[in-house]
Amino acid sequence: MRRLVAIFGVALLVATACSGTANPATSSGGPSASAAASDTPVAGGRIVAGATGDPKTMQPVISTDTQSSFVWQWFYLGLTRTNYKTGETEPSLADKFEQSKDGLTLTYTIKPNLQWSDGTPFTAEDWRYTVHAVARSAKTVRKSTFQDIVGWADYRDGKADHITGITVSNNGMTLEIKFGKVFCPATAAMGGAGGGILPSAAFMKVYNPYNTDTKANIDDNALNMAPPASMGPFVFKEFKPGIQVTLARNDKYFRGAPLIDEFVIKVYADATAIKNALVTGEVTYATVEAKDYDEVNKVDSLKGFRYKTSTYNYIGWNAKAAKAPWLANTQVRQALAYGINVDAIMQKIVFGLGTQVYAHTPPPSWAYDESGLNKYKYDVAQAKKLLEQAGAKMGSDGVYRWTDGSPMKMRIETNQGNNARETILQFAQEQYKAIGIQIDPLLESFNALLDRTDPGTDYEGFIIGWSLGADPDPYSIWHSSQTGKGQFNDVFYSNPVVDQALIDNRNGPDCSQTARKAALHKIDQALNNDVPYTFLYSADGLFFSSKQLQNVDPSTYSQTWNIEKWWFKK
Amino acid sequence: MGRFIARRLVQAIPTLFGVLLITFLLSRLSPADPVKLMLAGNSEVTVEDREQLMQALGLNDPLPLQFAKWMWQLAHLDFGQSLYYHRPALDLILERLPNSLQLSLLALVVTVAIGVPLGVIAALRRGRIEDHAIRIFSVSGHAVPQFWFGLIVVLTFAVQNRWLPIGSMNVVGTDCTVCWDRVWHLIGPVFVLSIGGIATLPRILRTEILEVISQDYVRTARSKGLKENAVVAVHVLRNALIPVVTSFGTILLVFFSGSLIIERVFNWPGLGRLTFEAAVSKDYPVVQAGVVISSVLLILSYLLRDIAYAWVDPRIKVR
Repeated sequence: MRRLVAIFGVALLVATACSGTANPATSSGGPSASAAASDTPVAGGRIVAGATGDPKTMQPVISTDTQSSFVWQWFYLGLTRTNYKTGETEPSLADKFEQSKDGLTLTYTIKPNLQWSDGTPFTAEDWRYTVHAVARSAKTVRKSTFQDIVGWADYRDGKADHITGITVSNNGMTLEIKFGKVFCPATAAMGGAGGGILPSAAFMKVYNPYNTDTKANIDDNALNMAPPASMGPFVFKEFKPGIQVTLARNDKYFRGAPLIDEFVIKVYADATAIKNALVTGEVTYATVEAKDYDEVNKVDSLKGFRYKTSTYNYIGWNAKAAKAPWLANTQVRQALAYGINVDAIMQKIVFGLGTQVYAHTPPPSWAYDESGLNKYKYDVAQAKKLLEQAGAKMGSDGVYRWTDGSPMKMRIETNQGNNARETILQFAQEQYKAIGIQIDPLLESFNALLDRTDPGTDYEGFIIGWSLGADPDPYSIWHSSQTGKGQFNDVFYSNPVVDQALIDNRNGPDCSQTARKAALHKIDQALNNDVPYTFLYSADGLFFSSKQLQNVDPSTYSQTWNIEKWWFKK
Repeated sequence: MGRFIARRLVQAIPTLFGVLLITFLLSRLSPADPVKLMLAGNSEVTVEDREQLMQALGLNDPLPLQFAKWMWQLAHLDFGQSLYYHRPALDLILERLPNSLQLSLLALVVTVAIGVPLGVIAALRRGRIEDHAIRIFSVSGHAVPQFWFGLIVVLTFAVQNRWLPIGSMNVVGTDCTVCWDRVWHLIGPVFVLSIGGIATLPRILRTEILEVISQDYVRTARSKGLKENAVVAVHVLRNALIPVVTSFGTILLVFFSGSLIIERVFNWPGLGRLTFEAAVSKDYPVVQAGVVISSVLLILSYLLRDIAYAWVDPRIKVR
């Protein structure tokens, strides 16, 4: 029977191998053939993008997942946006924004004559409404963003009918926010009202937040799945569960109506299915994983783009691990950094399409500065020397003994099914053996990994990654206070210099980019020396789109920032 | 007949309760809570925000209380709100159910339409090349894992050769239920979903036909001058079908469980895919509602099987 199955499988595989990769169909469609063969942009056509699931909501206040934000981002914008290349905050619906000298007042001036897609004027009142809705929502996770605004707590708890620290004046053209204490990431965080700004006129019909009733909220209403108006390039048209969300061009978009008629977000089971759809031409553009780069790059009808990303992978070392007390020792952690060949890992996993990282701030950030950082070049002898300096003694079985006599054996865990992390684990197991440390690999579900590495003492090493926002504020990851259940300092890192620099970066009082960059560099230098993680690499973003699609210019912080200018060339 | 149906439905209640209890416990006792999964890796969310969300979703209640609340809701036909979608779980299920039924029922029709003739051919051509070919097909069809077979079909016929679509129900821009586009999208998932049934049916049917064909009443039918086709259709097949009807229960079970994987592989927006995704993200109310609806459908299909059993064989009386 086994042979039969083998024969059957081989027959199918031969069929697979024999068939070539034909040119993709153009079901994602452009304008009619006669439209233009020149470089003059022509209107029309449909873009199809892939998503790995339905939007759970189309309303940013209660949104917690990327599938949802991938939909509402086309309707609900912020007063500011992140520059697609540099990550710096730049004006969007606001013309300008300024922070007072004492850092306690933030003032936005709204662009004149802005209109929602339904014709209603856009004013600062829309921002004010959205923040009030966040304050009373039971399902939002964005309250902490606004907690320093004067009068926030009183309003949230029903002691006031509005937030006193927010003032809208000048016919809705000026917005002033007063803070109880300086919060440097405020300019970036406030602009979007914790996501995107809602059309207050339409939402007032389903929820009025200006009262002291803390029971009512915006969490459950029909508009959450049917956005009534848009400030973005597209308006909501139709949602077919499990199949797709269809958007249409917003003719009132303030940067100019898009040239594309329709934007469809089609739902696929996973990233592989989206890659397949990209190859066959069903999807117009998508990002792909490094392992698929070669295959997709060979498709004639696609063009590729590559950019740095604000993500990185690492091996975390729990300084409070009950079964591996040596992880509290800096020299041991430095030995672990010297003892793994990150270059070889990068070649194997991302085929060199990435950047090695030596500390927390990711390469594309404006705060990135690798000067003075140790590169920890793979060096077995140096690793062993550090272990011995730390007090470890080599045992007869080739495994070091720690100062208490116990063999230096420990577990490294990661989530099953993530090929990159599984490969890192294999490397770690082999290469740490060479420096006299025995690794027991553990593959588990992602759920179990999250659960087990919630700050505690029952885990030693773990492989996972960070995907970071544009504004660098790593307080929740590295501050020594953030080690409770549900918090993110799960390696129990504690360094008073870093603690102070994290607060300086966050609460100023000097919030200038220069001051923050200096504070962040101090943090990176300390992390680079203390190596609470073995920092590995940041994979490049690999973006492919149909060759017909023009003006595509994806980068780190946005791949679609100029979508209104995209058009199909025949 | 009415009393029979009522009795069977009452008997189904303890089974259903057992299924509910196991589903509830398994989903709660596996690691990580839904909020942790929802916010995985989002370092900007504070503990206070997480706690508030846990509270709002009712996840801080003790397990027995959560179970009791759910039972109370179920008694009122309320399946609760999805933790992720912020909508009633039943609405999500009902949106997807017709798509799943379309797939499963079509797979059943295809299974019978291909499986029964293959069984008849295998029996009537016993020991010849057709019989061997069908046996090889049956064994292979059984041995091949559905998810693997599905992936190979997608890779071969959709990605490499573009004969079939990558998945979903319609091409973007078309929206029809009875049309060539829908049939084109159904070919892959129906083929893969029915392959197990098509492999099973001929084996059972062949054995039964061979047993029935040597019975006295078949010889009598032949001796009174009936044509061979009539003998097979009226006398042999009808009697041989009885165990086949019994095996429908198993086939339906395969459809229900198989659709979980097949719907995902072929990106079919059905109940199976919804339940699978809800299980992965620990959206308890949707998983529970999905399991309840699937269990009820399965129990009903078993009931239909028993009724069909009596219809095929009048000697069996429904009591």
